Amino acid sequence: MSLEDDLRKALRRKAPPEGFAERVVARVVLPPAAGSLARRRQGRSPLVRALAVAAALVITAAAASYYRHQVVQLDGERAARELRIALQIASEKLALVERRVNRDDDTKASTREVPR
Amino acid sequence: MLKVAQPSPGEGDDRLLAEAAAGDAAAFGCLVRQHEAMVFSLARRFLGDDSAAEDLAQEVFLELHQHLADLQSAAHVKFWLRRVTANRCIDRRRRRSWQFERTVDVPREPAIAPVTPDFLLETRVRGLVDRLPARARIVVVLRYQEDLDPAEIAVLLGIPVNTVKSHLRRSLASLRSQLRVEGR
Amino acid sequence: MSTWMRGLLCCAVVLWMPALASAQGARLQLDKLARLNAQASEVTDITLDPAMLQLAGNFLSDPNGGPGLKELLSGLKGVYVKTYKFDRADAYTPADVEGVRSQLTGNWVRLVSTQTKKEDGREIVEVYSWREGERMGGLAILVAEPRELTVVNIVGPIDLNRLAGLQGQLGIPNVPIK
Repeated sequence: MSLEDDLRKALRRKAPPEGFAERVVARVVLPPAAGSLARRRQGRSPLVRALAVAAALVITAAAASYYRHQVVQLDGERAARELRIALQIASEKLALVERRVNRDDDTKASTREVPR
Repeated sequence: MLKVAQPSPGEGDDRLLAEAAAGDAAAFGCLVRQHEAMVFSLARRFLGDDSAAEDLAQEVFLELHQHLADLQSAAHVKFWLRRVTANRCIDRRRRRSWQFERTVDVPREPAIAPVTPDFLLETRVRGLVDRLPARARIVVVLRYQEDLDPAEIAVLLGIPVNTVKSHLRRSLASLRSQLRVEGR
Repeated sequence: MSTWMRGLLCCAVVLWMPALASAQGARLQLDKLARLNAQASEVTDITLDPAMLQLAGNFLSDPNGGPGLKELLSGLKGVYVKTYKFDRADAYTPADVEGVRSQLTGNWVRLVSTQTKKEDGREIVEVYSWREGERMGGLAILVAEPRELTVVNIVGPIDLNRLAGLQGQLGIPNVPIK
């Protein structure tokens, strides 16, 4: 494989941490000033209010369903959480490896397979 | 503010931009999602860790939000994001350069087996790219991460196309020789 | 038991042994580290056998919305992680580290090994891959820092690049590594 192909592979895009877009949007829309929030509420049409109520009902129903799901399948959730933590620890340690391998030339360690 | 005319892509993306510019937070969220990997990856390549990269990427998107009305198309948004991110990265890197950790002693072990797994090769390549001078590095990253051609990079960074080609030529030669020295 | 039955049993055992060795070979025995539980200020001990991995798989969603995470985990036979954090630098001994290292022979191939001097001791970082011919059948990461000892043992085929790329992607705060 050519160096250019290696570069394309090595430099491929990486997704940001989960919830990045939500955090950006939150910084854009929050915190609204109390006064302007009140004005916005007053200015809402009946249709918007009905939609808001419907959305609240949907969210409430979804939350109830989610709660039931959680209670019934607690073991599975716990296993998934433990797996995430395990993978997170593994990936953090690999990031540490990357940092150690990439230190300046005069101080770096072996990066080759070494038969034992 | 940048005013660079760009070819218009899909109508849907342009409509998204119009809605975001009109104050629709959901549309802006979609815009962020479309471009978050690009902006975050550029920042990550320069700043070295996820946390600093996310800070910079958030700043870039907040700035985008303030300038939505000035942008004319979805392609223009992409161009603007790349340009602003590249400039912020170079600025941030200059400010931070004095902070970079120096190294500690590690005994070098002999390279025995010729096989280098992809992970290690990619790690080495990224490490060598990280050591390129800032301007050369952004050129290399835009070329191979973003797959831009030299002319596009020249427009983006506001430098002559021959300078871009020269950066690429010298950087590739440097990377090639370092990888060869390390027994790639 | 008749002679021919004993012979048959021996043959079955001989044929079965390599498969057993392969399945168990990539799994490290980390029980001896349990003595550190009493000395550590913080312990993370995760044991996910094939059944638990299958259960966990039903509740996992990929952070990027695709099938990537489940795909990464398909074929895994076990994930075992032990992390001990200590308040002081000499809480564990070189023998604790050697107890793990001594198992990393045979099909284990060392990919990376670094040693770094730190203010209060040395840091050892080692990565091993379990090789079954041309295939990678497991992974071991050993990180011994002055105040922290971590062993990660993944049994089954795993893509190192994709595993490394998960950092900060799993909805768990990303901890910057000094």
